[in-house]
Amino acid sequence: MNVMLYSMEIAMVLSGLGILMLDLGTPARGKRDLGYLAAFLMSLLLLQSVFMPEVQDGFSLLSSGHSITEGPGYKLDAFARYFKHLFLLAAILVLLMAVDFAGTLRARLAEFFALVLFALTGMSAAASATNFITLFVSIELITVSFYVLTSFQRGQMRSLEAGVKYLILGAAASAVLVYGIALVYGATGSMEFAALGKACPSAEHDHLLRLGLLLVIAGLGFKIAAFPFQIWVPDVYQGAPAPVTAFLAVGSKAAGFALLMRLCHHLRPDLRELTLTVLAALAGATILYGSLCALRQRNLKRLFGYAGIASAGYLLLGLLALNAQPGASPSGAQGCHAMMFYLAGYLIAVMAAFTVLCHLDGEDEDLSVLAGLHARSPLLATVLTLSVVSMAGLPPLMGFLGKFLLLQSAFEVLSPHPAQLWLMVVALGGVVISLYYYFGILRAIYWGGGISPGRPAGESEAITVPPLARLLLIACGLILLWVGIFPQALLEWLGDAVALFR
Amino acid sequence: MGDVFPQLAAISPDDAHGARYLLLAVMGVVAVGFAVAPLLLSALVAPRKPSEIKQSPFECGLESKGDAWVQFRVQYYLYALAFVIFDVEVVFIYPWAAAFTNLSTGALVAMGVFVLLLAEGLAYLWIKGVLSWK
Amino acid sequence: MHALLTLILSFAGALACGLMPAGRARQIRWVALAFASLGLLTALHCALRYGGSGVADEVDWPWIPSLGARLAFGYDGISLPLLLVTGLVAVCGVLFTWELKERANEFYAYYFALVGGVYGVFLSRDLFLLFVFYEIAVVPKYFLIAIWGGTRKDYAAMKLVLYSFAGSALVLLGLLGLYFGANASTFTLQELSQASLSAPLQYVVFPLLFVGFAVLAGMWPFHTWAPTGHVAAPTAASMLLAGVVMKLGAYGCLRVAIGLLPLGAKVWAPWVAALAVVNIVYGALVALRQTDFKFVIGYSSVSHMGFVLLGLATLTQTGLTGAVLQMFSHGVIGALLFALVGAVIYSRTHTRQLEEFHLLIARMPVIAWVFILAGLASMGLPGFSGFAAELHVLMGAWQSPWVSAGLVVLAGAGVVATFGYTLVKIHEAFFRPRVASGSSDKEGLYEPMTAAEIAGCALLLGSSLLVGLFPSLLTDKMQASLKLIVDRLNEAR
Repeated sequence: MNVMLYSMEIAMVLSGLGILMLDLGTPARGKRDLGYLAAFLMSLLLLQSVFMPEVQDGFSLLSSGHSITEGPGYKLDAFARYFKHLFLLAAILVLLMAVDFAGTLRARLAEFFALVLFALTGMSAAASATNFITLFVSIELITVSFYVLTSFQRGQMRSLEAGVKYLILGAAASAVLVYGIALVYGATGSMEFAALGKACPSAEHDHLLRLGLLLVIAGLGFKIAAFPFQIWVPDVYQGAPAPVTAFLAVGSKAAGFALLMRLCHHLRPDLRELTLTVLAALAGATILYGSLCALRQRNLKRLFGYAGIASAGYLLLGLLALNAQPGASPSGAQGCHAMMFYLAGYLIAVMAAFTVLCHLDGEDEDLSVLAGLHARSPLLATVLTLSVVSMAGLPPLMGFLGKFLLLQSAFEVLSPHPAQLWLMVVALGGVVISLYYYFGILRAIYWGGGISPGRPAGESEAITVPPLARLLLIACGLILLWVGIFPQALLEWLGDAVALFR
Repeated sequence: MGDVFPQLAAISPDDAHGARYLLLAVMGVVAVGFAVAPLLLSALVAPRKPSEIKQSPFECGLESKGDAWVQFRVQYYLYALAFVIFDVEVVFIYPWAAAFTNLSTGALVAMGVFVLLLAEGLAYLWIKGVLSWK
Repeated sequence: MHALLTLILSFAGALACGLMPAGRARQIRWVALAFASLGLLTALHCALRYGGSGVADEVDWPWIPSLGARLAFGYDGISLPLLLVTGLVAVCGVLFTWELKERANEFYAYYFALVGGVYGVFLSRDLFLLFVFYEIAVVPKYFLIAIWGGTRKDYAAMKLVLYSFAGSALVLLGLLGLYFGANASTFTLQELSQASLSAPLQYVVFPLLFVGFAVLAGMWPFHTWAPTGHVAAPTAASMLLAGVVMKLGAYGCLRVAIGLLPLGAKVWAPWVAALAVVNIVYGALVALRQTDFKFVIGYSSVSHMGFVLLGLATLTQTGLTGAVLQMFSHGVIGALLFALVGAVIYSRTHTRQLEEFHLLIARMPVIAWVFILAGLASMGLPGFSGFAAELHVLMGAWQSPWVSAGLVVLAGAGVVATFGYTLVKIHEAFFRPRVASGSSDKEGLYEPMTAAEIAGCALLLGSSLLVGLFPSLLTDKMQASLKLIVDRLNEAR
């Protein structure tokens, strides 16, 4: 067993434990600095991983695993690295956001930071998982951390409600997932994803395998919040503290997609047909459901929740490409390409939007808190605008190319089957619908005076943003713009990451 | 399936696939029947003469008092949780200890890491003051 | 000067105006005027330099190789009149909002972002790039209407966005069909125009692309965003919307749908012609019934865009020339009419309801006569650009095998209706005593036109007159580029 394979996760866990231990000796007013420390450590890890990846390909310490798994169930390839970088970036932004948010969290800050790191570890492991055991363990690590994180504001009814809902539905989803895994194992006799590519010994094994696969997709569907497994999203997004919601929206979802991508990559041709149909239905329903439900939302976090559901639908379009018949079109890699690009843009946009939310006053996140934002803080208004426009998928921001690539890859897969092109119509319809609610946010920012009768626009004074947050927001905005206009560098980097799928 | 569940395979090695599951099905029917039958029987046979005393919940011969939704001290749970964690640790350590002579150094390191992680948790609890009952 | 300068200047102008402090409205408008004028000068210089054939100022940089998209810019005889009209309208838009005080920095930032997007569409030689610029224009449009707009601005702005985006969605679908159908590795117009597309594919993709673009050109029955959007928009924005943004759609129809899909165009041309005639007649009749002055102009825009679409549907050299000429002509005259109604007259009377006007001819004689001139130009009086354009369109329609004679007769009836509503509305606005009581139109003489207003009117009327008297100034430059398209149409079978 190669320990260096896990070096990043080990570093994450050690940092988390270290933060917990340091907390014991830190006076109350120094606790916030632990967040900076955690963010700093993760930044170091990110830099090391980006610029010195060869360090991780180190020596072998323990003998290879045996029993029911054939390999370590773990791969540190370019694909995994890319996702790890995304997760690290998300975690750093979440930690810094949480430091500014600390006033609202009040107590047990160190635990908060440590839990974020543990959830990060789970996501990071998920990016590398190549067998069902690693998949399940990493998913559970993410989910259990989030059980606590979502209900972190114990004093608030909503936060508790969010925690309970996430716990119960999450547990149900885990049960479904584990049952699916058991069936798949029963049918193939192996825990490896690669076993999905082999023929089963008999027809009834094959039925079991199909059932198991559907259950696994359902379990992961909960993570990515695809319809009909999205029930928990609005309440949990609304109740959880803003940094947690952001992490949930980005990290948890991306981890689910990373797993689905690896999983689908190994499928047999006849299984691909099955998943193609299932995923197409899921994608269409998810896009429609998310877009339509978001129309009437006035709570920003709920709105982003529903918008996130719709995004999951678009990402599923990319996954479709992966399930196309090999040989029919070379689009498998393209679909992954699109998904990974979209996820990067989505990450930056969501993080920027939630960082802005953290700096708004007001207990509820009703749209009216945005009233007069353009006058109170042009920076926040501009960054939120960029992020919302990017999520809406308009050029020249990252979100546009992401959505374009996803639609393109889906079109390529579906074009041999004209009957399936309804999905394209649904997806494009969803984009048009989404403009309505995204532009509703813009309206609230720039001339939202009339929205809430009780609160005239611009009545409050200017909002001051701490320098570090200011810097991050500007960076997010510039990245959205720059990569949106000149995406080639990121696309090339992704080219290595998706080499696996070619 | 046979290699996963050898007992089943032994019962009907070459049968049609349905026969292998027959045993399970019979088992299921018997189990459900075992639970449901007494309930049905008592519902059918037993005479019904309800009174207030008979309707009240039975608590070891004592009269029940107050609300069942009593709040316990939170430290009770914390104790219980800490106990369960170390209880489960033992489950892992036993097989490891039994096979110790055949295992590599890697296994020693792995178990060391595992125990240390739990010890770290214990230390954290201790210093946080969870273990002192106030 | 290089044509790309128009694009760069516009986005630089957006940045410069956006970063200036909001209180400095005076300085901001001068900066805005400077950027807009430089853009116009660049466009003029390009027009003078253009040799009459081929693509000028071509640049071609790699952009997104994995997608095959390139940063390919350049202009030909079709883009040229549109670049000019964009420059003209951009300058006049600044002139007619000279008095704007409220959030002027933001206003001009969005204004120039919109102008930049428009220049970008006209300059793109790559389909993906064209689509990107086409979409870039969405957000500024929304902001311009929704922040500074008037009547039902929220509704109008959202409607505009949803309509144009729904159109874009169709375009995107068509674009992908085209890309995969042509088995192309790039999106450049050059390469796509050489790809051989199967006939069934063209039949399917053409309506997607054409209708998608035509939504923005105000094609019936997708025109309803136009009157509400134009009415709600602040003056400069409605000038841009009517003058330029509607041309984006028509340009897309010509350049992409007709230019790349000749077989599809031939099949669908009769339908397009029918819809175009509906546009002409319907727009004119509805305009006749309007009581809000700005709505009259809004529906007249719909009617005039019908001529553009009819010209496109002819698929002949003459008709297409007429279509492009009409894009220029309506760009200039439509912008002028919106400026007069929305800024010049409204800022004095504070109402746009025709029945509240009281003998304006006596109380603002100069303005009234300018409007009457503009109205005459709009209804196609010889000597103005509208006449040359509509003449070309109708002549092309006669020659065209795809437009039936009945439709041409109907379109001719539309011209008569245009005469009708223009004269009726001029009468109602300027020569009629007040009809409604409780009007906000006060007694007495109104103050004369300001210098900025005079400059704007002179620029727009002058250019319409110039092109009307010497249409060959523009048409000569278009012929070679249009011939390429027409030849492709004739060769394709």
